[in-house]
Amino acid sequence: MKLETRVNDALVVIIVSTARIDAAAALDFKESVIGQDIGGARRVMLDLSAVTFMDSSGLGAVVSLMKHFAPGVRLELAGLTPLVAKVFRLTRMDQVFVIHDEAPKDEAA
Amino acid sequence: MGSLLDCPGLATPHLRMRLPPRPDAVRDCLIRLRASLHLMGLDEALSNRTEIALAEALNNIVEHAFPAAATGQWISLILQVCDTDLCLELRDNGQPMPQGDPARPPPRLPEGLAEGGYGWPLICKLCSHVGYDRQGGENVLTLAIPRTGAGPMAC
Repeated sequence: MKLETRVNDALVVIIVSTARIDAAAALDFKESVIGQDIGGARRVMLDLSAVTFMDSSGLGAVVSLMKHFAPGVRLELAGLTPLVAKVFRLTRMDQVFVIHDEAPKDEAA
Repeated sequence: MGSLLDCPGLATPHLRMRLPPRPDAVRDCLIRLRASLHLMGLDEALSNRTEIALAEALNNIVEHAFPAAATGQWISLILQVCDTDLCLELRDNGQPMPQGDPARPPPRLPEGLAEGGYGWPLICKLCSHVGYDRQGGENVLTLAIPRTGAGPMAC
């Protein structure tokens, strides 16, 4: 899965450009994120603004990633589209994750 | 009341689809369904709820009714827009559901930070009716999604 990584000091932003994180994509998504070089960052933020669909498999992958990075690195989320936000609300995962309206802009750009 | 049989008649818009029980086919089905819902004029929030519930139902069927791939396996779906609900009937020729009724006992959200187990709770939170029947070697799952997003949920 194609991902783009942006590093700002202690924060790594991983931009997910796949539209659907579903049962067919969840494992590839998870392994692709784990394969990103996050250096010594303490926070990893998934920019999900291009993700229009996520099912419970995708949600499970995000939870799995949070556990993978913990306790040294905190996984945060940004840019949830309406359907993805609904899945997080219904499963109460919106109470578990730090969720930002949008990822910080790349200052170098 | 949520069953397709209760939905009055031929005038209501409906669509039918048939797919093999594979994750990639589920994805294609959902993409096509989404386009159809848009053409039917359904609002985005209802379309989102429908897509989530249907995805979870289809994923469950693929995973549990068809543990091994074989020829001749199929899932069919009928979607009908009724007065108060959007009604779905899913049939498949896979293995019967072990407990026989997905709505009893009510599925709960998993405790803590589980990596799975969110599928049925999502369906139950989105649907006012969840029914299961085994008819002539086929699983029949019926779902009703309230068009307003309000009202009593199935479980």
